[in-house]
Amino acid sequence: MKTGQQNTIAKTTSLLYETGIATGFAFRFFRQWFRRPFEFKEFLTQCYNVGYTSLPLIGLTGFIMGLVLTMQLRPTMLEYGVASQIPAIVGIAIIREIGPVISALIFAGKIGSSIGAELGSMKVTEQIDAMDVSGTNPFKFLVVSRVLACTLMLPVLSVISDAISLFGAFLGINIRGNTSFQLFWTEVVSSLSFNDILPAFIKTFIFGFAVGIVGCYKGYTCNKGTAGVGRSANSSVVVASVLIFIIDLLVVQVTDILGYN
Amino acid sequence: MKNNETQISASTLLTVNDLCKSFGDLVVLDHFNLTLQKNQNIVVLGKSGSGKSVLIKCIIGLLKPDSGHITVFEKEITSLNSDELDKIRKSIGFLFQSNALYDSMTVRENLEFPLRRHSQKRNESEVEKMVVQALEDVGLKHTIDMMPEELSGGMRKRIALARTLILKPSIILYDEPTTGLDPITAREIIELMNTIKRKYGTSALVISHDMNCIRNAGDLIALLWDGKCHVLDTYEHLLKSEDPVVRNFFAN
Amino acid sequence: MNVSQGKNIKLGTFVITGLFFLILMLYLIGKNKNLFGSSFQLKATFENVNGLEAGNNIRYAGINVGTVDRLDFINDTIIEVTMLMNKKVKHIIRKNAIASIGTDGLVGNKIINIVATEGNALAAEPGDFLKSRKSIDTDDMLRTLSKTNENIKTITDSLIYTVTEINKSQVLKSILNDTQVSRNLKQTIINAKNATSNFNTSALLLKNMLHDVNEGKGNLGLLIRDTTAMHSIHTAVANIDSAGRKISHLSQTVNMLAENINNQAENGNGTLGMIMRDSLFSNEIRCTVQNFKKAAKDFDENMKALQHNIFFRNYFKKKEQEKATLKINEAHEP
Repeated sequence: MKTGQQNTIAKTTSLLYETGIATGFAFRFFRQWFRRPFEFKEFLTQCYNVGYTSLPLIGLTGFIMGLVLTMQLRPTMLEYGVASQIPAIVGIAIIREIGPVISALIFAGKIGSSIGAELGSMKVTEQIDAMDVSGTNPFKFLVVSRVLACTLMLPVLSVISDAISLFGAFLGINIRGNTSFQLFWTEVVSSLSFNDILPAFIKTFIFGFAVGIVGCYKGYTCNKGTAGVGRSANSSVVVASVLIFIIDLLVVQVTDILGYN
Repeated sequence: MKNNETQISASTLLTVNDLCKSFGDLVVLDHFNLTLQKNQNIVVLGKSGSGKSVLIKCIIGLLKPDSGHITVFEKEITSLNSDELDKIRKSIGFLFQSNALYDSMTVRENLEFPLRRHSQKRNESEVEKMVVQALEDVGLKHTIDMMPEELSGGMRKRIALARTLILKPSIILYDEPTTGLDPITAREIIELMNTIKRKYGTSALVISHDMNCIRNAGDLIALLWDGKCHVLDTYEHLLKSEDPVVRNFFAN
Repeated sequence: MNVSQGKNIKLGTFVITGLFFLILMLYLIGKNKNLFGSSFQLKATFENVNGLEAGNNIRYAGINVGTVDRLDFINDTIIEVTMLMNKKVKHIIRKNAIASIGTDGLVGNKIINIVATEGNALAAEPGDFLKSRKSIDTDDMLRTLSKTNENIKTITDSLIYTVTEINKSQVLKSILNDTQVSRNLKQTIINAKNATSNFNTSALLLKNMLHDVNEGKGNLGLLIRDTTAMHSIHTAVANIDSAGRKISHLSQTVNMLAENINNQAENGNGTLGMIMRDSLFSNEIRCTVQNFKKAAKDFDENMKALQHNIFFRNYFKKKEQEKATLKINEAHEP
């Protein structure tokens, strides 16, 4: 009984400790961010790796989500005689929630793990030390560029994914029914307002930052050995995914309080 | 020559004075002293986990010592800010145990990296010339556009060495340069180390527990024992030493 | 270098695509909300905006022509609504147009309907105040209906009383016995009676139906977005109201006439004979009765229109079917 209690205390302490270190890591990011020189070339490379290469995957999942959501909604909507409302409902669902969150989760799976593994193996094979020795601030070169790339690229991915999702939804409607693209588009747009788009858009920046900072933190503080690399890749995905949902919850509440709902 | 006095002279490149470093309860370095002269190779010998790597990481500034002084080119490493440290680091080469080649870059980019980082103002042809020169020094000019993963362990070690050499450092710190290599490749690397010493007149601090390396690469051998420099002497003298600790290492 | 150039081009394409979609979306929504592009302001004041909010649509002839920009209190009873109108309809909306607050369907969002009125007027200028009409909601409708109902009941009562009085008066009876007037009067009263009972049932039905709708029963889907049906109800109710008023006016005339006749008869002087012989006066009575008849017919027509209204058609059809089955059942019984 006592050992169990001690175990719990130890776990809680280590969790608090980890959170503290991670927060410090995030603050270090903000401190380093403004310091010159800015690793612009590395930043662009990371933007390419993080953003462009994720587009097929995130586009595909977005497309399928739009299509499936519409096809699943259709029977129920028909039953209530409001099939004409499908574009409006699907549009709001995709823009407000599904687009950003699904993109962020896929992003966490693909990019979070790759950053965690990459930085982890760099740490293990002393490449981070080698950079330090070569007159490069590795934190700036590796962490700042990656976190910034994630923060800026996820919103772009999310917007493109939204567009692809809506196209998927349009196809989903046309599998059974028949709606012109113009009507679909008009219905979607008329059901949306800035209050739907802007909070959803802003939260993708936070999602991207979370994925980047968690991946970098886990990689940067990786334990020695290949097992450590695996663990850091794994836990960066898990922690980033959970964080995405927590941030989503917070953003909803904040927008609610601010009245942008 | 136990705990020899530090002699500071014009030819002294590196002085380690009363260096202490511990991780939690584990004391790794306990008042460690060492002096490296110009054109001198010192091999630091010690058991695994005795703090050899910690020593050179403290020297290069990757780890911060708990107490003590490290002087490189008459500058105190421990009190430098990051910009000054970068300047000092330009003249110190560091060959990592695991080579630390950047996997995501080609050999060329790997070699260019310290060049571009340390001093921004270099034109393309000069950079190209320096890269080619460094690769010629290690005999791997043909690998210039390959990725590190395409190379064998020995080749990677030599590329890493080329990257270390490219800034023409005065001191090179070798972290277990022959570990994980077959004896033939290890011998090649040691020969290369000696060639470099002759060609560029560099000094070196070599961390190793490979007897072959100790015999051939070092002018002097420092034995790290219990966090202290137990003995500093030539290989021949140590072979004949009656000290039980030394005998332990040189038994066979 | 070439590789990195290619990558940069791809990255650029990627980012620009994303920005394009974002800006397109924002632009379309903005356009939809009249935030961009040319627009002009119109104003209207209301006592009660029934939950209208900024951003609600404004319709003219059923087409979205703008959005509500702002709601401001002018004082404790008047609210000023600023409407952002699409510039394209500037020459269409006249100064004498009327704004009213309505609902998009029975349970939809609030909207402002702008309705043109007859007569010539200049096109509305930016900043003009439009006249507003108090909105009619279901509660108001029911209140009007029950008031009309009560009025008609009073009218019928007084008509019955008048007729009884006329019947009781032997002199009048003999005078009026053979004349067209008496028959007409009788018929009219019967008509009025029928109409009233018809009207009573209809009002009751309407009340029940609206109650059902409020309770969420019935074919809600039919009602939800059918603005036309709502409009028809408004018209029907207004018609009923006006018919009721006409009846009331006529019955007063008849009442007056009957009282006059009564007085004359009781006084027993020769004036009555003179009056009855006076063709002008009898013509007047005839005319009045005919008017009354016409009013009753109008009222009947209104009720029929109500029956044929799309909103009630199903209900009345069902009612007729029930009647038919009842008749068939009766016929089958010996």
